[in-house]
Amino acid sequence: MEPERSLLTEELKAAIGSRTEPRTFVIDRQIARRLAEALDEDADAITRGEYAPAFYVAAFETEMAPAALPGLFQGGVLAGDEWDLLRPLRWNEQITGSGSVADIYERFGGRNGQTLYMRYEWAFVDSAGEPVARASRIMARWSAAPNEEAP
Amino acid sequence: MTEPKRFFDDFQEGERLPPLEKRPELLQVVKWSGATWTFVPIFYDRDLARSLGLPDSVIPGPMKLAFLALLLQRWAGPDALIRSLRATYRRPDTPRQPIVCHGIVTRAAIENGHGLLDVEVWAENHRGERTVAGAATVEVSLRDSASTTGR
Repeated sequence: MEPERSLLTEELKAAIGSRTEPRTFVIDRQIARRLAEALDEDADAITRGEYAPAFYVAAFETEMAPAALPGLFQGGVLAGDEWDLLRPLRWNEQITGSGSVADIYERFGGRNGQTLYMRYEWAFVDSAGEPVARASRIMARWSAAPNEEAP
Repeated sequence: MTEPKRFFDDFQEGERLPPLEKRPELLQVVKWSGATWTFVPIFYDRDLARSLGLPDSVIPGPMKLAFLALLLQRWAGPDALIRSLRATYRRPDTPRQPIVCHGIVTRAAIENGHGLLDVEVWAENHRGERTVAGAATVEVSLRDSASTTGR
């Protein structure tokens, strides 16, 4: 059996630690209404209170895309997500997120064979610079159908 | 009818959360894509998804994470704060098929004056296969205490 060759190229290794420019956005009721409708939930009830629902963090996704995915990960699939909320998010507050490629690694011998993973991390602060949330996302790249669990 | 508020000592290790079933239509996925402004073709292009070996277009992972957040919030109550939620996407889910979200309390502890519940969460497809697996920590209020979740 031919030994598997590492796919961790110098380009990929160099991407570890790369950062994207901070992005600022507002916790918006209208976005929450649209998310609620997509989830088949009561949009009025969801947006009635003082705080955004926990699933609002999904809306950060727009702000989370890495500025430039290393070549092999264009066409990769999402393998996992992690969220930490340090406090509830208030409507109309301004949040700034900054992200970086935390790690790129590979695994041999999984169900879909050799797989590359990229872990991307974000930190979010409020307008006072206080941390409000953290997130990380694992992208995977393999040749077979996306049927693999992230480690 | 409004459910009475539950406090930390109302929850127990081993408690199973009432399951939450969703059956998202393709239109909901399109709404989700619009609300999060993420347009990944396999989320709405059935032909493309099938050409890649998938059974149909697929439900976005973060949308399934949002279902798990709803499961937790409904169970713990509107005042509870979902402090963390992490999941790996193990298998694709497809439109018009049931996604049933489950959870079980694995640990209940008071830490630094906060009532914390660790919960194993997962989603199953119509074949009973786990398509998402993860864990969450939920903060709930302590009875007879000034402690609140901040909500």
